[in-house]
Amino acid sequence: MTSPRGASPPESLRARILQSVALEPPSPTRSHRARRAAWLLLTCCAVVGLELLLLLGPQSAGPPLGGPWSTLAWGLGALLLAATVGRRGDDALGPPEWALWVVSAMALLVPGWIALKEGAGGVGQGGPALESLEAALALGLPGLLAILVARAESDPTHPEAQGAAWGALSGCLSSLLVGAAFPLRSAADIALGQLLPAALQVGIGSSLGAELLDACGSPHPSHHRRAVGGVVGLWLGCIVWIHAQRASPLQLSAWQPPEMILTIALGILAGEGLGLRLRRKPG
Amino acid sequence: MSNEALDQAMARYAEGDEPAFAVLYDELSSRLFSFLIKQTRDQARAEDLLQQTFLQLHRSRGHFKPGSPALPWALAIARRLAIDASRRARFSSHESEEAIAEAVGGDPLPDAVLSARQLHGRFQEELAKLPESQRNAFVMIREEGLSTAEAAAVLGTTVSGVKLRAHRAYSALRRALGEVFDRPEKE
Repeated sequence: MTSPRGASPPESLRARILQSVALEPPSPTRSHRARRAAWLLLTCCAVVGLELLLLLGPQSAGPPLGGPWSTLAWGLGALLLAATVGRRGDDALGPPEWALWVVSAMALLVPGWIALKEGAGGVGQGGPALESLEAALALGLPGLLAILVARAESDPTHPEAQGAAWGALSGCLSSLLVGAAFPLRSAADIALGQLLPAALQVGIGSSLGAELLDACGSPHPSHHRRAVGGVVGLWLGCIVWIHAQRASPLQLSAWQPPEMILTIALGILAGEGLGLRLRRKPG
Repeated sequence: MSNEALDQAMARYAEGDEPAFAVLYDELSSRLFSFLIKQTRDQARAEDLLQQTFLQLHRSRGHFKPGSPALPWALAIARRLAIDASRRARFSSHESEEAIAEAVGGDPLPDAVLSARQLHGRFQEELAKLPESQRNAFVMIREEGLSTAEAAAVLGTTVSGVKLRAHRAYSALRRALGEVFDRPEKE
C-alpha cells in the first residue's frame, strides 16, 4: 500500500531546513566513522594489551583459579552479546529493547551463577579479590568507552539498552580475563571480583549510552565530554590504585575502602575536568 | 519517487554526497510532516520537529546502513523527538475544523468535500483518543505504509505486539466510526 502524502510543509520551511543543515558542522560520513572506529579499536587493543602485561604479570598474588565452566560461560556470554548488540537488521535500527535487556541479563547471570557454584566453599582472599575488582574495571572500561564513542549518535530508539548491552559485553570479557589471572577462591571473591565489576559496567554503559548513543539528543558537547572524562578518570583511578597497592612498602590490609574511594573519586574529577577542556573537532 | 530511490538518496548522503540531502528532503518531508502533525496536532510544533528531525538525520548519517530502508529510521527519529517534545510542552487540544483544514491545507471547498473533511476531523479525534501505543502502531502501518516488521523496529517491540496494537486500534476506530472505516491490511 502506498502511503498518502498527507500534509505538506510550507516551501519556506524547505529553505530554512536546507540552510540550517548547510550551516551545521560537517557530520561524519560512513567512511569517516569506519576509519575512526578502526583507530579506536586498535587503541583499545593496545591499551588492554599493555594493561594485561602490567596488571596481570608476575606480581599477581597467588595462582589463578578460573573455573573451566565459568570461563567457558563468560566467553559464550560475550559471543552471544556481540552477536546480538552488534547486529544491524535490515531496518538499520538494531535489535529491540527487550532483546537487549534479556540477553544482557542472561549473559551475566548464567556465567555468574556457574562461577559462584564453582567457588562455593572456598576461602576468601580479600586483597586479591579487591584488586581483581579494580583490574576488571581497568580492563573493561577502555573497550566500553571505545565502542560507545565509535557508535555515538547511532540509536534513535533505545540508547540506554544498547549501552547496557555493550557494558554487559565488556563485563563478560573483563570477568573472563580476571577469572583467568586472579585467585578468586570463594563465592564472595567471585561476587566482588567478577559480578560487581560486570554490574558496574552495565550501569556505566547504560548511563553513558544514554548520553553518547542517542541519535536524538541535544548537541551538548560539554555533557558528552564530561561523561567520557568521568569514565576515563574512573579507569585511571583503578590503574593508580592497583599500582599504589603493589608499590607500597607498607603491609596494607585487605580492605582499604576509604583510600580506594578517594583515589577513584580524584580520578573521576580529574577526568571530568580534562574532558571539559578538550575541544570538539567538527566532522 | 519510490522508496528505493529514497533509500539510495540516503545512502549517497551517508557517503558524503551533499546534494543528495535536497533530494532526501523532497522525498521525506511530506511523510514526516504528516506524521508529526498527527503526533503534535500543532503545525508550528510540527515544523520545528521536522527541522530537528532533518538536523538529526544529518548528524547521524554516518550510521545509516546502505541497503536498508531510510523511512523507518527517519520515522524513529521523528517519533523520538515528538515524544521528547511532548514531555516538555502541553499538546494543543483544540480540534476545530479550521485547525485541521490549516494543517491539511487548501481553499474553501464544496459541501461534499467539506463533509469529507469533517469525517477526517472526526477520524483524527478518535485516533487521538486511542492509547499512544495503539495509535502509533496504527499510524505506522496504515498511514505511513510500513510493514509490521519495520513498525516493530521503529516502536521497539515485536511483530506480534505491533499486530495486536494495530488490530486493537483498528477495532476501536471501527466501533467509533462505523463501516466507513474499512481498509485492507498490509503484511
